[in-house]
Amino acid sequence: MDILNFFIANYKEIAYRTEEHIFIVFLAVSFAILFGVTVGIYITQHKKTADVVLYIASIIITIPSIALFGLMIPVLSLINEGIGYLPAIIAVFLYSLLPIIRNTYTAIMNIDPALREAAKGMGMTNSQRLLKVEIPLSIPIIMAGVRYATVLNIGVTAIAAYIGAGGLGTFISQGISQSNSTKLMVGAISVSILAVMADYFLLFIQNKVTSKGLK
Amino acid sequence: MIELKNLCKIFKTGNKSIVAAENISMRVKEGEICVLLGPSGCGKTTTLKMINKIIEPTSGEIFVNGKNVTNVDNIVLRRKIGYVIQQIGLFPNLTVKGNISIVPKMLHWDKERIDRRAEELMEMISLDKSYLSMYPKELSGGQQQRIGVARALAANPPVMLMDEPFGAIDPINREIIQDEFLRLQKKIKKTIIMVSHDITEAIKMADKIAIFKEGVLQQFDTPDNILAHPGNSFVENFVGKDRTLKRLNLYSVVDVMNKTPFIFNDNDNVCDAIKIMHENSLASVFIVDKDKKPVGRLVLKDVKNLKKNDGKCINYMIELKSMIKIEENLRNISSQMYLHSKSSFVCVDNDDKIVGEISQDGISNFLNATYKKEPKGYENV
Amino acid sequence: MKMSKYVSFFSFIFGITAFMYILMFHTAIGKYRGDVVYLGKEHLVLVAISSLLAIVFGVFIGALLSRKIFEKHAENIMQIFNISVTVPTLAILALSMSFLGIGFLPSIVGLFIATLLPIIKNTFVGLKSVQPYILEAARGIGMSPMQILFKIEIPNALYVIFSGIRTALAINVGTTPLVFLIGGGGLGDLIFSGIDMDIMPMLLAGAITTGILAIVIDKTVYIISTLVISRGVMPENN
Repeated sequence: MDILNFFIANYKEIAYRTEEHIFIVFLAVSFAILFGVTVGIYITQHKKTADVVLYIASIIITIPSIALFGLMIPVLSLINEGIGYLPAIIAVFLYSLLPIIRNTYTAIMNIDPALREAAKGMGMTNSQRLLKVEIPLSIPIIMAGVRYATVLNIGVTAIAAYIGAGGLGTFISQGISQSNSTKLMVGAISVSILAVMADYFLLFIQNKVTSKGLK
Repeated sequence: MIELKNLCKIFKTGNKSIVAAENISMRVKEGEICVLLGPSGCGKTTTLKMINKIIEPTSGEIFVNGKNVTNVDNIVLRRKIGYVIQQIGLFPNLTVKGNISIVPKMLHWDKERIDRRAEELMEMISLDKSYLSMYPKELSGGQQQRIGVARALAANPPVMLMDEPFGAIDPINREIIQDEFLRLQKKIKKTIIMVSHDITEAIKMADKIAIFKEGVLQQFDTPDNILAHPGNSFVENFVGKDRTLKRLNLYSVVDVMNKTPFIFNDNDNVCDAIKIMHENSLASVFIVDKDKKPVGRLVLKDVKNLKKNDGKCINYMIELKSMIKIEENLRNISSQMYLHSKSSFVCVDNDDKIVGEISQDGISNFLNATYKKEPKGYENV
Repeated sequence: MKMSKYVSFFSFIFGITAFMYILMFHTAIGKYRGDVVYLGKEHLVLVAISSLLAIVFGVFIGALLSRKIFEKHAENIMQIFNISVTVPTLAILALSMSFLGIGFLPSIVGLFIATLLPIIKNTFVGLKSVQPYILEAARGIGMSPMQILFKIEIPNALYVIFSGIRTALAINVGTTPLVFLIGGGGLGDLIFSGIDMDIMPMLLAGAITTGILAIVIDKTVYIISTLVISRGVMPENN
């Protein structure tokens, strides 16, 4: 009951924090898609680079988020951005890279060589092949990477409240420090709902952009 | 020996029930290969899998070597029956050795005996010992299949069940592996029940064939009888219109050849030969050298006008272009007869000595004998 | 070719940054050595207890769900787990705290729950993906259900199970610094206090140790997996 009352009484702040949360994740994941898909496609042609890139990305994703924030603070402090949106966005961007790059890479690498040959045989140029055959076929797997990255980073962004990035994590951090379990629960529940909804929304998008022939 | 008595399997899905096997009764003698044959969904696989209770029979009894196994514990039963499946099903996590020693291990053999058995098995399937430490994914399909057979043979079970054992192998290797398996079977003499959908494979492998249709055993007989006397129209259609040609696969030259042909030495007088040909109304006779090796053929119409003392056979004979080994099968011989437009061939043993003659007429008479002997025809087609 | 110049440029920057961090870490460690060792031990205890419990329970539950008796419900249960996986770990800790208060126990419980799901999921998926004909072959040669589970199914599912364990441990190690917030101690103490009090060396001592620990644990699990998993079930490219 307390929780429901809190929701009703503070719906404006909850809406604002949700917006903030979505903003951070959306911006960072969007950049990560642009960068990650490009890199992912590029490394399909360069096996050695692929190993290095995937290795570095897998190291980054292993580092605990709060540690990554911690590592960025001293560097970003030099430009007076040690805390706030920027480190959060950078961290989310970095964490999103591995799933997106890896999925793009494996999706394209796993395309049936016969299809590639068929496309060549029809006289498609390299870029036509990429745009008309390889990317459309890879979209479901790339989207799965985007989905994973988004859900993961809704969680990371919740932690970013501790470096002053705002978002729904603010309720949790305040709830903990003020021993206000209602606030705590509201934060935990709303961030969970956001994650689950984002997951379903992106699944919906994933199904939309998947060619019917691939289902 | 394996005996099935009134074996039934009814699958129930919802309120529908499907009879997969209906009153199957048959008896496979010790050391024989019985092939269960039929189109897909005919109940052959169900019947096979009921024997080691991978599929639990609805009713009926199973006897293995005279012992009723209907109520024997599944696990105890299966350890005494070798089992080979189409997908082979080698365990990917185990090495070749791990795979072939898994049953002996479960039977608590000591380590030394297991090692010895593993090497023995590799020899049996003619694979090098070095394969023992490899993993299934490192082997070719044919090698995996051989290991599958070795695993089934590991604890020396008297009985083997094989579900399309050669089905996953490409046609060329399949022949090789089938031949290899038959050679092995000659040595180990297991009682084997094998499922197949391939009539050619069945004819090649089987001592007995059991043909199934919609869960019912249609005919259970030797391959030759099945081909010569199909019990009903289904069997006749299934074995094909060329069933008589298929019978040719079942016999080799030695079964059919005339073992006492008229032969003359190369130094014999040609007129003696002509006389004998006239007396026996022969179109030709074979000429051999002093080692009994055939060298030529003397054709009556070439020499019938010769007078007395006109010389030796060797001067008038036509040289032989081809000779037939006695272990060749009749199908290959018939093919050569058409190829060379010849109606007869001389047959030789492994030392190239003459042992007989085979002719188109001889083959026809041989194939026909069974039709005359047991006129088993059936009505309604 | 041009791109590889960029790559070498970035790795140069990467190297410089890493070097800078190492220098700073060196000074930071000097000052906070005692704290790092003490809190590091606490940290490792939290990771060890919660993840070992999660592995034992996760594999057990995953194996149980893959059995025939659960056939009808397993997919639905997995669906619930799939949703639960999306719940952010900070939220799990927060929920654990609101039920159990602060301290060691709610920390362990929170970490345990966050770690459990990927292990259950991968154990289930791994066991289910063992080919049916392999199981038929195992039944056909007379293995008991227990023998099939332990000698065939689990060894063949081990690659998938281990990738679940690796993911789970990454989550566990990533979440452990946060349990400081609910009174569980560990290296998070240095990071959060460093941020709050704006003491960079303290922050770095915590962050770098945590980062290194995470990488070391991940690699350790990987090495263990290569030792435990049969070569016969390892995918070709690895």
